[in-house]
Amino acid sequence: MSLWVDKYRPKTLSQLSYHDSITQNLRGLSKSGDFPHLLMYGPSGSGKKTRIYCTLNEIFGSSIEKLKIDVKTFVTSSNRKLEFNVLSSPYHLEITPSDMGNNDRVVIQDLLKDVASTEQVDFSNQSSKRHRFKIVIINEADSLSRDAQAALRRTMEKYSSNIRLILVCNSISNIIAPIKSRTLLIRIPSPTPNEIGKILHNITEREQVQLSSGDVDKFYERLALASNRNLRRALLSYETLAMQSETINISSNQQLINLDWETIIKSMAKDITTSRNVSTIAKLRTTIYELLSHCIPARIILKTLLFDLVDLHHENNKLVEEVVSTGSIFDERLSLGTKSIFHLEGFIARSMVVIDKYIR
Amino acid sequence: MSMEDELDFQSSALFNSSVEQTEIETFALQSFSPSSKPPLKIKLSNGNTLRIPYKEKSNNEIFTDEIYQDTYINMDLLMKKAELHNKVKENDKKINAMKCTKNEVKSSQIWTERYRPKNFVQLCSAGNDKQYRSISLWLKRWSPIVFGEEFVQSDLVDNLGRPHHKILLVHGPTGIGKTSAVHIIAKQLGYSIQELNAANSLDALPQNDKSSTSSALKLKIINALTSNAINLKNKNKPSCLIIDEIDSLGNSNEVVKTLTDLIYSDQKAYSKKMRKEQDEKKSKKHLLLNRPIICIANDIYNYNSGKLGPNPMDKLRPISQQIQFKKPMTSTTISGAKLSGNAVKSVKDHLMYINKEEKLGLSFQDLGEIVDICDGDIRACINHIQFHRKSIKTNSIMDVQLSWFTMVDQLFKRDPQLSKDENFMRLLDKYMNGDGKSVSGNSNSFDKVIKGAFNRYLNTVYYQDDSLKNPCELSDWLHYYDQFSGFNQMDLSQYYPITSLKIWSLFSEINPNKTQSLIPNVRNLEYESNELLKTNKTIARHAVQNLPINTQIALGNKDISCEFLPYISKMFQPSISSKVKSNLNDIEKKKIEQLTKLVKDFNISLEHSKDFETGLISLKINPNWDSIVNFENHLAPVSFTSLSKQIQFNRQIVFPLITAELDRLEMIRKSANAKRPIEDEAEVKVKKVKLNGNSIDFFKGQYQEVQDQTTTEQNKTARIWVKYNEGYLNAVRKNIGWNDIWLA
Repeated sequence: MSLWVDKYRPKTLSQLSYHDSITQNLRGLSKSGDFPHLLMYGPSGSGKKTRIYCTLNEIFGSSIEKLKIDVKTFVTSSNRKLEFNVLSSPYHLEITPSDMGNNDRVVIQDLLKDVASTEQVDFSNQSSKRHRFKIVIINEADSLSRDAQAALRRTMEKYSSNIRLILVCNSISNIIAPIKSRTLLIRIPSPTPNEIGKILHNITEREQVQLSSGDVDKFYERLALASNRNLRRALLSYETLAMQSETINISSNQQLINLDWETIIKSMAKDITTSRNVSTIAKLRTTIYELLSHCIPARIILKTLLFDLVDLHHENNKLVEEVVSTGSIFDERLSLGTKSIFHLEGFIARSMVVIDKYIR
Repeated sequence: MSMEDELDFQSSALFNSSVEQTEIETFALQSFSPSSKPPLKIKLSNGNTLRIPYKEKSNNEIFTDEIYQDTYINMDLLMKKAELHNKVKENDKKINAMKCTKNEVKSSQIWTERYRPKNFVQLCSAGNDKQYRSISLWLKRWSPIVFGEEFVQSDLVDNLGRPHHKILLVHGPTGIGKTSAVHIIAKQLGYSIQELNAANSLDALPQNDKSSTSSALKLKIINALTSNAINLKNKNKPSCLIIDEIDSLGNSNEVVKTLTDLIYSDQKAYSKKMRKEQDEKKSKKHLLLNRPIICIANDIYNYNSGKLGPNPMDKLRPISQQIQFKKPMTSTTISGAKLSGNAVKSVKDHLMYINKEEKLGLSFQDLGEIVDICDGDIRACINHIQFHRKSIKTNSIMDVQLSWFTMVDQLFKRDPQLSKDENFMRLLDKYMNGDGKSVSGNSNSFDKVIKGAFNRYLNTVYYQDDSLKNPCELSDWLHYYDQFSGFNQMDLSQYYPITSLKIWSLFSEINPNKTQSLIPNVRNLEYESNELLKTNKTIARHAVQNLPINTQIALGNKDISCEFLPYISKMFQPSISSKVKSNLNDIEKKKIEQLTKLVKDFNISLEHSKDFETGLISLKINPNWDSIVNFENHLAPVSFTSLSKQIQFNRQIVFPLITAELDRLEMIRKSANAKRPIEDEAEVKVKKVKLNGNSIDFFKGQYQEVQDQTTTEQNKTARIWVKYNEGYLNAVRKNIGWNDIWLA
């Protein structure tokens, strides 16, 4: 409860501050008492989960917040034990299939069947029929294997009287078409810098954060943009700023908090631009290895590096175009392959060639 | 009577008498044992002479005579004789053995066994000296309780003189001498070794019945820990349990469970002992661990043996002290500092020793290549030498079986005699059909080829033309290879050689120079980064699991290590002006309060840790995410050393403040709890009465005191809560007034 991310997280639909039209729709959905399977997607830190929990709160009341973590055990067909964490309340449960690796199909099948075959009985509220189903939230649905998604589609229809699925993912490109057609797709875009600014301003007042005099809105905007319009990140970095110094200097030349790994990637981009030769590649390889070993996912490295390169050359449209196309090629290779170091280094070499072509 | 008759009689009489005489004589000889006499001559009636020699006394008889005559046994003499006898026998054996080894007839023994080190000095250090020392340090700490040595109270051992972690977990890659080291060190410190490994952990256990399996296992482990060896050689040596290959035991889950149970019961027993409780019955139940347990594992993070579910090592790790063995490699850190420069050399020295013993005539360079081929695995090296010793002699080992190492060499080399096409065709034939197939057909070794090539191509390009065209093309082909090798449904290994041929056509040159690599420590980069990644992942997971559920939801699962942890670690470095709380201003106080809350909510513990070697004390956060957040790269904004100094400095200020704040909160909580019981005191006493039943007198005595406090309440029939069966399902709370109790 002590982190701002947690403390100022809206609990009900009425507390939500942006994307009003989506909020309206969700409210309508919850009023009807019944709703279709949902597929929430959008960039991280845009408030997908928050909206889901707010909706559930609207439907089931505050008991949705009585959360606990269980360890469930499954026995697979080959007689092996499989344990994973399930987060649950009386009305819903939440799973993250990427915990289970290749066996997500078995888990999806077993768990959903298990949940679906037991009907919810609510003695206190017998008159209304609207509490008859249980919600299952599946996080990172885009990392579900094809098998598991195929297993989902039948389950969704068969047990639709007892169970509602809410799939959460960043992009729906990995979701198979049958599932898309069975769900209501809701896209939650990232909040605009202005919206983030309002939220930050609200916190400033409630927490009595000391800001130096200056253009406050400009500061909020800078903070929002620095965190890629990711609200979660914006809040974290704002809290860190507040923690580090008594009064936050909001003048525009003051540095915001930069994460070390981002700084490193930024200087990588500079190196790529300035010294385009083999020895740079050799130097950068050690850097990549270190980033990877510090749990920074390869695709995030590639993405950050690509955007930093684009930033450096934003006046040269042709170059940007080609660098981005190179980046997307290698992004695909990263997600298809397993040896990320090959592809990251390949991207560096290729983008050096591209920059060479336009700058010289 | 006729003459004939008389003659006849004479002869017969003569004959008879002579026979009688000899009989008598022999009898006399036996009974009186006269000294040596000439043999008795007997003339028979037919004219033949018969010689009857006196019986000679045998040595044995003399010996027994001696015994019987002296009526006591000369033990000293006997002992000496026996000893001499044994010595002769032993010498014979030794001579025989020497003969055998010299003849090379009986060298059927595997070399890895023959050259298994026998004592500490023989251990091949392989860059793990520090680890060896830590093992012996840890074992040494047991000596107070095991050998009854006097123990010195220190913060390294608990009050009974045992190390804090009762289990030592040694882990590292295969074949670098974990088992040997542990065995030797334990032996040299005077333990007899009880081993439990994959081969015998399932022995003598009922196979089918699960419940009894674990209890049998437990019994087995406890037996191993409590019994002393009766074996003559190790008489009265305390035992030390070594669980080998714990990560690949068939029943590793149960073993680990048994160990955790043991540790748990040990903690109970220990705390009981510390409190000096006399409850005999209960203390019997909890076993106090007083023998060391050492577990050996290959990989304590990955759980890839095809089993699903959580890794049993996850449970073992927190209760054990870990020592990681490292592959011998001449490695440098990214910043350039040498880590274990002599590691490879020590391995080579070890191999050289074998080389000399076996008279193989290998040079240091040959050995270096062997170490490379085997990837630092000492056991594999020795096996390699033994297997190839014949071919090594003729210096043709590299051609007998194409190793991945050679293949990489070939890929970067072009034969000047042949045209490019001919050269290509020759390699193609070699890899598709010839001896190269053994490498290119095996995805594992081919992976090494590709990695080797990947590690080398930059150097080649650098010396060739420094253009980026070829590296770009290579990246496409690496993608091709990555795709094909990751394809699970089918074995596509027959397409692998294409990648290698492409590498050849891109980078081969006539005189490949093996000069200094552009990237320092290129060969071990991947291995090291993987190891670090595994550790960091565990730390991140640990950190997340400790968070409260709501925070977990708010943070999401994905970006923990690239967003949450860096920010949190920055939050823990606030700018605080003073170490003393009273000197702080309000805002700083508030910050400390917030941080304290975070520490409490996130289950973070602040720890002092002391480095084994340098003795430096550093402040750490547990789970220790420093290794995730801090980079030691040349591109990092602040250099690693100054960053860590800065962090330490900051923590020295912040940590005491937080701990003080934690203590204060604890005090507040306690006092809040303490306020209530004054009123509840009566209740407690009611309970006591209920329990004792007969001690009304006792109650009356207490009543006087209580009455003073509760007279007013009593008059108003104050309600008293009475709890029955607290903590159980059928718990009941009901209101009872004072009067109810008095009247009843």
